[in-house]
Amino acid sequence: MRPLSDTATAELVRRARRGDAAAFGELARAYLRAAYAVALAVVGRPADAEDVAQEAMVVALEKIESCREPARFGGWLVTIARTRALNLLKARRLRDVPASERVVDRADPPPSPERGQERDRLLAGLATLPETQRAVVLLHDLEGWTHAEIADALGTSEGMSRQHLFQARRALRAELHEHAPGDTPDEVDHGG
Amino acid sequence: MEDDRIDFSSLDPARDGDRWQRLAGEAAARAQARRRSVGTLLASWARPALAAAAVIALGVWGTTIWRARSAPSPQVMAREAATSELLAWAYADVVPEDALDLLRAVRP
Repeated sequence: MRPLSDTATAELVRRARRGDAAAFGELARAYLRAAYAVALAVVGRPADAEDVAQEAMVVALEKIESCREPARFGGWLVTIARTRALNLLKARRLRDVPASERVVDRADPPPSPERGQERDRLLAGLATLPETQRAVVLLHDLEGWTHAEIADALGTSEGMSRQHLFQARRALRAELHEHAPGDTPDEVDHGG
Repeated sequence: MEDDRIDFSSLDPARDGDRWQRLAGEAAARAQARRRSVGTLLASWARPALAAAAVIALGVWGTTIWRARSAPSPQVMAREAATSELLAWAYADVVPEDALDLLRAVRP
């Protein structure tokens, strides 16, 4: 489930439209991670995904009058985040930076080498999935959205959302199992 | 189904709660600042825009009054109607029965 009900979300959007500063903060806290999940599904780098999510949130809150269905603020934000992430990806390709290149998360370094390895394996596994599967599995397993909420936000059906989740989990587990610690002792160096 | 969840906690930026709250707060503050700046911009343009609209409205009103006053008289309009009727008959090479009346109407 999303952190806020549709009714609570709609009420916060109405308050934000009236300029209520607290409502802006509550909406940002409730939905920033969903924007991050979808951005990460597109750009594949946590640091870039954070930037995209934050910028998408700024744009969504700035233009909150354009949100036609206040209760669907989360879905609307996710669409903005995905568009901005795709734009970033396009710009990155134009700059000819390999999409698979992984960078150390400058803003949020992993707390331990083991944690860093785990994160690298997850990112590598996610990179093998189609974008929609990545978005579905991240929104469901990281953010806790239901299939109805995911389907609404990504413009698909609940059935397709379930199917994407099933396939994504299976592929990820296979990938994680294949690269489990001990199988590949020389993991990515996080010392830099 | 819920037990099958992949553990994404190592990718969860919100695990550092303070930092994540700060990021969310920054996004909210930036959005509010942008809204304020847009609002200020609109407010600064509102007065000149209203003044310009008033000048345009005055101009349109004056032109309308002037045109109403300089409208052709009924006699001129009747003359113009008779002229066009005569021209139509001349073009069709037909002499109208009331040609004399029409000529009188056309004569200034």
